[in-house]
Amino acid sequence: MQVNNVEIEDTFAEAFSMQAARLTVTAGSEKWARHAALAATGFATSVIGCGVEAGIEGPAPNTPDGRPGLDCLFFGMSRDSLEQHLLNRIGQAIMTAPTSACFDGGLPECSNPGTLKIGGKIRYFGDGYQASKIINGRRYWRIPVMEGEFLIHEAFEVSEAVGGGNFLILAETADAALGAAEAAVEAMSAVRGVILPFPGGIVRSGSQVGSQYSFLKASTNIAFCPTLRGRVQKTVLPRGVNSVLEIVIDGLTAEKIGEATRVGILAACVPGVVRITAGNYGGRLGKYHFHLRRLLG
Amino acid sequence: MNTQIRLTLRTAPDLPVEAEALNPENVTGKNRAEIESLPLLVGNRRERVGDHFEVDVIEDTSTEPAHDEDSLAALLLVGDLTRFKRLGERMTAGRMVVDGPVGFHAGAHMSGGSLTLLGDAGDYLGAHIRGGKIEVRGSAGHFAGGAYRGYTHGMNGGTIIIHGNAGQMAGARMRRGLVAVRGCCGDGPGFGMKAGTVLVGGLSGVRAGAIMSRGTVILLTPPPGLLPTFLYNCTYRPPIWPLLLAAMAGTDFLLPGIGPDAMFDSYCGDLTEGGRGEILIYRSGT
Repeated sequence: MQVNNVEIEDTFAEAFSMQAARLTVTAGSEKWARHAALAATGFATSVIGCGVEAGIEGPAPNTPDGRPGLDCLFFGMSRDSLEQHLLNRIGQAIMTAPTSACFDGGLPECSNPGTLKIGGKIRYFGDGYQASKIINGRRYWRIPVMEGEFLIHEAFEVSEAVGGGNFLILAETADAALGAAEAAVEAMSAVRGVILPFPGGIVRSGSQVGSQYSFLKASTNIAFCPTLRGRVQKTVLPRGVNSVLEIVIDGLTAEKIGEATRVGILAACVPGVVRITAGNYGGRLGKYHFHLRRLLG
Repeated sequence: MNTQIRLTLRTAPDLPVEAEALNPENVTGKNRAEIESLPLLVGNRRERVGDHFEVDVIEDTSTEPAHDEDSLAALLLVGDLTRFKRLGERMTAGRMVVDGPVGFHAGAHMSGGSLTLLGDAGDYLGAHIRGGKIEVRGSAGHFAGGAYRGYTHGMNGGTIIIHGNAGQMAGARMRRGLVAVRGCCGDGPGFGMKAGTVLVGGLSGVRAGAIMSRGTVILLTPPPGLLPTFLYNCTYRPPIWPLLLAAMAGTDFLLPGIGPDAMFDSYCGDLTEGGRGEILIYRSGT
């Protein structure tokens, strides 16, 4: 299969179950909502090294307080892990931002979400002076802070979600790879319910499982490294490919990841790109498989 | 279903009427004769709905989908029902509208549904309600959303919106929910509150929030004074205020010029009860 003279490899991305939550971060201005959201979703590229994967999904279409807001998605390997990271990030990065408030963004895309008592734990920062208010059946916590008051929902929805969707862009030059990846990220940013957790949505240093060093669980993906093509027997790089970038996708549902993958690949099929492929573990580990050619129809 | 039951009062009775049978649950699924035979206690005599009301059952044959809350018929009462007490009492669902003034205890102990009163309401409107919504286009008497004598706590949920004035002790001893009065209210709004919110748009009487232990009294018109057991905290924009406004959206309650960015003077009290309650007084011109 070819799209705009770019080969689409007959392969699939292998992705895994994760737990996800959506936070709506509001503030007195978009500037401060963005400061809070960026701080809360920073250093959250991979659960392996960061414990959680997170990103800004986009502007919040509706905010409970009518102020500017951003929706942020967080993905963890378990409910307990996700809860702990949310507590840390809300407490250290959102609550600390001037004028901020934090609301449960809800997970209407997911069936039967559970809840995590996040605000119900953050409230203790109020040192006994916190107060709650129930409005339309939802409990909010009002936490006194130096600037005034921090407002947070007591409970946040959490649900099973999907992490690790991916595709790789094999290009003639580094510039071509980056241009294609940027175009893909821009197209994928319109798909709600997904985030691209790596910097700018792009991975320059994709990894392989294991290493010749016993102390490493993962190492550089030697099969895709262009500077190792001559030395590595398992290289998968065709002639003419001199740079590879990867895009990793976490989403609330497999359908969302499939849609994001589809629009991303279509946007990345530009001159200078040789092939699009994906990473998997032979299909033996991940619950979700995203076949590239099927997604593109 | 979108069936409407319409009860039109023929003549106003001279005696007080206990009318707790008149709520949407009791009229749903009944034909005209069955509704006419529902009981009323007029003074000390048992009488029938049909003795005082013209009953019309209007079946909806349209293909419009039924409202979510309404597997029950909508109940409409028309007339001067000033002597009719306990209308809509203990409602759990459905819609009830009264086009005319009503007596005491309207909507008392409600736990769901909506009760709309197009005229005035007597004392103890929505006493002890636990859920649902009551909207009064006229004024209400004393103890709106309040507790009956001898109870340590009153309303435990739900929303009461009063577009006119309210009497004394609005929201007395409430522990959850919202009582909003667009006009003025008498003495003691939020008396003995344990939680919840009382909002007064016009001038309130004295002793707002007396012996409150928690909860919020919001006064959009500065009162002549507060009890000495309330102390000033600060002037700020409470983050909860826009959410309260949003909760009242669609009721036409909002006062012009007071938007989500309003500034309030915050007071804590009643210090005789620990001081964890608050009174917020709107600071105009901000």
